[in-house]
Amino acid sequence: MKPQANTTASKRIIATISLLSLLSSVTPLHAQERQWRSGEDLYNKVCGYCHKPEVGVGTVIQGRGLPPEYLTIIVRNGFNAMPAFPASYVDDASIVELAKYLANLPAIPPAPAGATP
Amino acid sequence: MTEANEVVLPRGVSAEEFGKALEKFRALLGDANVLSRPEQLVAYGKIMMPVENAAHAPSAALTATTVEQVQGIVRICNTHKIPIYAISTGRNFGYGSAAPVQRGQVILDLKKMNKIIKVDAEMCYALVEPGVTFQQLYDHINDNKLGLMLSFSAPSAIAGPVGNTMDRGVGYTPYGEHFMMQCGMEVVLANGDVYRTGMGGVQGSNTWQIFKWGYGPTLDGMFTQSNYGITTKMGFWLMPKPPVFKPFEVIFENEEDIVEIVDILRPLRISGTIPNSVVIANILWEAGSAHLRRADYITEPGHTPDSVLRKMQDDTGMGAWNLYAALYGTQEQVDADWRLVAAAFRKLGKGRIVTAEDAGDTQPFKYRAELMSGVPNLQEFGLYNWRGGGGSMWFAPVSEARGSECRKQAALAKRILHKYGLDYVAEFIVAPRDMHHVIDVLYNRTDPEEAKRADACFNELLDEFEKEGYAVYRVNTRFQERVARSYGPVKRDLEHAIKRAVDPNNILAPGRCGIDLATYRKT
Repeated sequence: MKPQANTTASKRIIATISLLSLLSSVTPLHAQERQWRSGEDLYNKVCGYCHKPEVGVGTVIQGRGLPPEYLTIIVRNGFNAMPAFPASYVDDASIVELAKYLANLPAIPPAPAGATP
Repeated sequence: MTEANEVVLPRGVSAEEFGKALEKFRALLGDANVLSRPEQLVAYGKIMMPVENAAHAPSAALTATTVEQVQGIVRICNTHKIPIYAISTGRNFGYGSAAPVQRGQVILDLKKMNKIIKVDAEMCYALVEPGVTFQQLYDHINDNKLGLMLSFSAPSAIAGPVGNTMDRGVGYTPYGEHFMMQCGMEVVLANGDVYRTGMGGVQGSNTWQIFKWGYGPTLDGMFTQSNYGITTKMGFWLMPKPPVFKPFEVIFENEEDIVEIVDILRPLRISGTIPNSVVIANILWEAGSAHLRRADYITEPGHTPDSVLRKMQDDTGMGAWNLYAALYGTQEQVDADWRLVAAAFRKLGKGRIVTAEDAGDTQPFKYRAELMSGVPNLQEFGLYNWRGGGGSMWFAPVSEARGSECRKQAALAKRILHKYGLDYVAEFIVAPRDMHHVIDVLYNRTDPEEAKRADACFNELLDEFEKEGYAVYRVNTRFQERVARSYGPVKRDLEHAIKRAVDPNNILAPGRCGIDLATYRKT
């Protein structure tokens, strides 16, 4: 299997990452209450439905040390078929907790390329 | 696809006027609930349709938490003629997602209105706000051991009952026709009034979620697939969780078998022997949701040839058509119904029956069984990996539950999709008398040429089906005006007469389902 050719989408993501990394390093997008009890809760109730290793719809994200800034970009923009989530659905603070939770899960050998993130 | 850089404004509204409205929104909701910066809005603009995100970019988004705030918002919108597009959870993938029907509309995001107001385990109903997700409700029912079962669409966990029902979505249980199970709405009208349907207007009534019709005209339906109000509460009936649940699959080898499958199934559905919204999925739907990818079999562009589909069948044991259904009840009831079902398929002499015991944890049986028993999952998103690239539009014509009609529609759709180099990825969702013939027009949205082809394909699907007297039951926001025309001028005139009466300033989602006072002209 070959990775999908997503050149335009990748450029768009990279451009947005550059812009939002700058912004998110200065201040949170806006103060708000947490929508999720914990990173584990968010993973189990949303992300994991596609990204858990045993599901196989999206790329495995656990145990990879993905930084919250990166996760925020993907969550807010989506990627290919992955939907985007606004802050009303997944708030910034919960993404930080998600990153911590995922970092503590064991790494899984990469699946064949081609899955949506 | 590139994004336009210019400032997004609502149609016909100056920057100055828009600024005044934003100030009033901030005074009403607080700064944190008025989003206007690009990085705050980007998530609302992600679409799967074959046009630039910019074509459906919002000018701002508001998050409300109370009915009073929604009332205040529509008053401000009336003053400044701001078009507003309400979303509940914004998970309407393949139908427009969270993005507004027209560029520049202000999104009213109701995700934070997420209270489960009541679940009555004796009367078997729920009353919820728009931001409640199926997952939230599922957890609530399980945590409190309420013994009830949900029905939801495939994006179950992350979508919600209000949005799905207001767009007349369907699920896979005996309660799968969701609007049929809806009972009682609270709607904020364009003038700020709060209207409750059915028994909801009666002081002290305890039958708002019990009796649908109330007295006089019953108006619930006019708030679905429309832009006449903003639903802030919705009641719906829940099925008691049965003591025994028996899912099963029947696998058919040949494409032509669809005629006999439908004709053997119809009496079983009409009699209630099989009570749920049965699915008949074709090989590519089955393959996509079980993680087969096109690139595993073929690298040439264009549609996937039948010879490849046959090889996939041979490799996996999947059928050309794969029927999923379930029985619900006591052991005695299920045993009796199973004898009838098994006898019907035995008499047909075709079809390989697979039970849960046969299938074990294999996909796609597992996720189908979960959907038919109200257990959330997102397994079906595997379809998006079949071709990749994030493009998806649902083409969903209604069909009679008659074998010859289903074959005719399937052949017509396949011919048109293949003409445009795309695949026929389809399922029939089977009601007693009708079928939702749901086709996922999958394409690579990152390839401008393929996106253009998909757009042309969708137009031709609509045109050619209309010539045969077929029309879709629901469509993405790019094609809503086009589909409204299929249903005739008298209906459209009436819809706009209602719009003039209830929303004369045209502030509520103009363009949704083709209803827009600014552009519609009586024929």
